[in-house]
Amino acid sequence: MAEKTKKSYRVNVIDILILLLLALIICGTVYYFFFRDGVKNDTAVAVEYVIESDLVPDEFSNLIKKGDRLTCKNGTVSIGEVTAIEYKQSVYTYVDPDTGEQVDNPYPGHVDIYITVKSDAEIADNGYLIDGSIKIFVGTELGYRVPDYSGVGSCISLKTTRGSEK
Amino acid sequence: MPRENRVGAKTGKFHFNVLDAVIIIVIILAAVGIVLRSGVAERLGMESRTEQVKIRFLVKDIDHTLGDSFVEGTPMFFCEDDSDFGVLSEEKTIVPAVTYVTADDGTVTKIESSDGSKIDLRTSVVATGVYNADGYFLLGGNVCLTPGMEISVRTDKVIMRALITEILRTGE
Repeated sequence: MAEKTKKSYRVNVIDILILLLLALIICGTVYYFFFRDGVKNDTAVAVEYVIESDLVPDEFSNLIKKGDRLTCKNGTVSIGEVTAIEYKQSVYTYVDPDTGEQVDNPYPGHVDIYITVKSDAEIADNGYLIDGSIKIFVGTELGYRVPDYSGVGSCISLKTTRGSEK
Repeated sequence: MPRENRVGAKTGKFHFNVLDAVIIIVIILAAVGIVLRSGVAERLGMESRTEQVKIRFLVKDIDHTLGDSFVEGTPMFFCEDDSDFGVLSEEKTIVPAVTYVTADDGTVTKIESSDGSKIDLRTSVVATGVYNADGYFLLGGNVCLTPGMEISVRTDKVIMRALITEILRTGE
């Protein structure tokens, strides 16, 4: 009797669903860890861009560090990793009305911050898309934060370091 | 009839097979995923990681009469939702309000309020929160604050814009 029972096992709908689910999980895992970059569309690139924050009170100097992860202002989207940081004395550019010459005068108590950031991105219309939601191109105004500082700046340069040039 | 035999209903024995094990593993993984995703694990560990900090801030260009409103022990709240910001500490520095003026020759000069009618006030609140894995301070476990942020806060008498200048761990 026991022999007969064992042989008469039939695969039912639930078994098939479980197997399908397992197959999907395995395929998803393999894709995520091994093929994501390769299969990804040809719009995937790596970008390096510079954010300038000007006229920042100098007491906020040296709070951003190389290696910091930069997020958008509300912290929901990672917008890259800081690869270089530079602080410069802020200046007020004055145009001499007589000569037309431009003169940079120091703006006391303030610094301009230049943050170089690298990130993966996708080519999008009129710029690049970081993490699928933050569009960036030269001139974009960007709120950002790192653990020790939050600020606002403008993208002043942008280049691709991997993938197709736009 | 065959189905009954498979689960052992008729014989009273339960045969644990590979599919059962797989189902259990999937359920466990799903549960772990949900716990991690929803931040339950983080919240469970939050109580033990809560620490006291001193949040220093600057209030610029206010009337000099408001300086007396900042008294140690006064509770402060966020204007947006009346949630707690912290309790004012004993720290208080008042200086004449500073402005920057551009002269005709293009030079920029720092000017202090000469009659003392406007002041810049630096003070701090004592507050509690946690530092998350990325190093951000979360006030009360959920409001992210960093130096450089400008926030709207109030006491029971005064509303102000405060520029956070420093967040210090007090070790308590």
